Amino acid sequence: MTSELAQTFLQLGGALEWAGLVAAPLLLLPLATLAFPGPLGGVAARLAAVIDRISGAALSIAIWSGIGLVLLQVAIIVLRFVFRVTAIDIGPVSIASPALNDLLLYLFAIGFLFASASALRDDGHVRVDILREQMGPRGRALADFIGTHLFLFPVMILVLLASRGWLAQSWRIFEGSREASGLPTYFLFKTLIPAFALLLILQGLANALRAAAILRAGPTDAPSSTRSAPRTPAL
Amino acid sequence: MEIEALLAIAMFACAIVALLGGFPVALTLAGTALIFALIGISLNVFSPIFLNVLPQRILGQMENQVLLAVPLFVIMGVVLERSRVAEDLLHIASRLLVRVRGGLGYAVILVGALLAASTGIVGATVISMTLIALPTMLKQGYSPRIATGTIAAAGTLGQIIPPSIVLILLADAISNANQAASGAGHVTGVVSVGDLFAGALIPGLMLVGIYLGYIAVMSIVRPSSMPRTDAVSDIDLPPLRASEVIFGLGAPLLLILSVLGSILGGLASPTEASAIGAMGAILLAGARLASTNATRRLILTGLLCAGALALMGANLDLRFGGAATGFGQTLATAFAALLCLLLLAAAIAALRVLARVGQLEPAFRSAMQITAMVFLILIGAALFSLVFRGFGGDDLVMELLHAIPGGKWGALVATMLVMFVLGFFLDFIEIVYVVVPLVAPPLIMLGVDPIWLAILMALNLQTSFLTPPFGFALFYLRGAAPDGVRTIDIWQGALPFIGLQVIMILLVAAIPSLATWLPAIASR
Repeated sequence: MTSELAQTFLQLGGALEWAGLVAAPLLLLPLATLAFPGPLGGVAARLAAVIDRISGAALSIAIWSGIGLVLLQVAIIVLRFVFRVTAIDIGPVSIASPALNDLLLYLFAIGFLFASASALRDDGHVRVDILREQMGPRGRALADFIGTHLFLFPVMILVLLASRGWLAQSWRIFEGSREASGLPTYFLFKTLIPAFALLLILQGLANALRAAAILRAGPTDAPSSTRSAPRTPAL
Repeated sequence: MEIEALLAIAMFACAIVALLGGFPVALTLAGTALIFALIGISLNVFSPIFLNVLPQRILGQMENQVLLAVPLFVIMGVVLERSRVAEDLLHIASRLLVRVRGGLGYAVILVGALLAASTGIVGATVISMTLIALPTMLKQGYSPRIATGTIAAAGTLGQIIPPSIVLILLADAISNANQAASGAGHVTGVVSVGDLFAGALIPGLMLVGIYLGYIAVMSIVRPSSMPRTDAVSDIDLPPLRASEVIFGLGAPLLLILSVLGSILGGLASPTEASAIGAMGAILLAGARLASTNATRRLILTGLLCAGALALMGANLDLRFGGAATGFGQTLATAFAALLCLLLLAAAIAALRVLARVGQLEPAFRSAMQITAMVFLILIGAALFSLVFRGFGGDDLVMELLHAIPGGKWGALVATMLVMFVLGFFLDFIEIVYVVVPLVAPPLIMLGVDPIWLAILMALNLQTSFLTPPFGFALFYLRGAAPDGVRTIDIWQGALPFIGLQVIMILLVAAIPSLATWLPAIASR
C-alpha cells in the first residue's frame, strides 16, 4: 500500500523532472528578448510580474512562519520551564515535545527558504557596492544579467540535481523524524530545499528579464522602473 | 605547484574580482566555486562528490537549533526599531544628559551599545542612529567630525556586544573549526554561543567605556566641538515625566538585560532567550503604539505575567497531576495557567496593535528577508568552502600558516591582517563563513584559544568597518547623512575611534583573560 503510494509520488516526481527539462529553455528567454525585443518584450514583462507575485506569496508564508516561530518557541518554553510538561494531551491527540521541536524547525526553515526569492526581488541580498555606485543603471543591469546566468541559475540547478536521488530515497520510504515521537513528515521537510531552489530560479528569471529590458532600452533612456533605487540596506 | 592548488588560489582570486561586479555576494561565491569545480572535474582533479553534498549542507542549516536564534533576534531588533522604541530610547537618553557637555555623544554611545544587543549587522544601527541622532547633534553645534565619528563607532558596537547575531554565527563557525581541530588530534573544550557572549561582554563593555572616556576628554580639550544646549530645544518641550523615563528607558533595558542574563546565567539557551526577547519586543512595541489605555494596560499586564511566570516556574512545582498534588499546588498551577492565558491575550493584542498601525507586515517582512539574506550567504559560503576543500585548499592554508615565521603569533597576526583587508568589501557574515573554517582549525591547533581568537576576530572586523575609505559603517553613514556633511569629515571623525579600537585589540591580545575569564566562570 505505502509502496504503491510512494511509487505514484515517484512517478509524479519523474514527471516534474521532465516538466523542468521542458521548461529549462525558458531560462534563455532573457537572452532571446535581447535578440527579438519586439514580439517577446510584452510577454517578458508580464512573466516577470507574475513571478514577482509568486515570490510575494512565498514571502507571505515566510512572514506567518516568523510570527508562528515566536509564538511556538515561547509556548514551548512555558510548557517546559513553568509546567514541566513534555507532551500536550488533548483527548486522543498527543503532541509530544519532539514533534513540537520539529514543528519549530519547519517554521524556521520555511521562514528563511521562502523569503529568499522575495529578498532577491527587493534587492535585500548583500552586494559589494564599491563599484556598483559608479556603474550606472545599464552597468548594473548588465551585472545582474550576467550574474543571474553565470551564477544563480547554475548553482540552483545544482541544488535541484544534487537533491534528486537523495530526495527520491526519502519519499520512497516516507521518511519520518529521527526522533521516535517527532513529526512523520521529514520527506516534506527535505522537499523544501528544491522548492527554495525553484523559487530562486524563477525570481532570477524575472530579474534577468528586467535587466534585459534596461539593456534593450539603450544608453539614453533607461526606464525608471528598474529596481536600482537606493536600496533599503539590510539591517 | 600542483594543478589543484593553482585552481584553489585562482578560485579565491576570481571570486574577489567577481564580487566587485556587484551581484549578490552569496550567489557570486557559490557560482564562482561551481565554475571552478566544473573545470576541476573536466581536468579530472576534482571529485563531483563534493558538489553532491550541498543539499545535505542546506539541510544541516535548516536543522540547526543554534541558528534558530538568528531570525528571532532579528525580529526583536526590527520590531524595536519599527515601533520607535529605539528612537524613544535615544531621545530620552539625550534629554536626560542634555545639561552635560557632550551629553548627546554619551547618549549615542550608550544607546548604540544597547541597540547592539538586538541587531549586530553593521548597517542597521548606523543608519537608524544617523537618521535619529545626526541632525540633532549638528543642530546643537557639534562638529561634524565628532558627530559622525561617534555615530559610526557606536553603530559598530553592535558586532561585539552580546547578544549580537554575528557572535552567534561566529560561535557556530568557531565551534565547527574547533571540532575539526580536535578531530585532527588537538583537544580543547566545546565552544558554545554562551561562551562567546560571555567572552565578548568584558571587551565590549570596556570599549563602551573607552568611547565614553574619549568624549569626556574631548569635551574638556575641545569644548567648542560639542557645545552645551542651554536654550535650544529643551525649553520648548514639557519636562520628562518619570513614567516616560521608566517606560522608555527602563523597559528596553530590562528586556535586553533579561535576555542576556538568562543566557549568561545558564537559565536559557540562546535560542530560547531570543524568543523571549522577540516576544518582549512585540509586547513593548504594542504598548508603545496602542491607541487606547485599555489595550496598553492589557499588554503591560501581559509583560508582568511573563515575569511572574518566570518566577513561579523557577520556585514552584506546577506540574499537572503530579504525585503529591495538594490543594495549594493545584491552586498555584491554575493561577499559572491563568497567567499564561493573559500572556497569550496580551501577545495577540500587541500583534493586532502592530497590524493596525501597519507595522506588523513590514517588520516581519524585513526580518524574514534579512534572515533569508544571512542564510543564503551561509549556503553560498558552504559551496565555496566545499569546493575549496575539494581542491585541497584547506591544506594549503594550513601549510601557509605554519610556514609564517613567529609560530602562533605570526600566524595570528597574518590572519588578522587578511581579515582586516577582507572587511573592506565583505560583511561580517561572509568573512565568518568563508575565512574562519579555513584559518581557525590550524590556528587552534597551533595553540590559540578558540574564544580568544573569536573575540579578536570580532574586534578586528569591527575596526575594519570603521576604516576609510572602504569601511562599511562609513558607507552606510554617508548614505544616510545630510549632504552638508563632507565625506572627509566622516573619515577624519572615524580616525580617533580606529585608534581606540586598536588599543582595545592590543589589550585583548596582551591579556587573553579579558576574553576567556568570564566564559570559564559562566560555564562552571
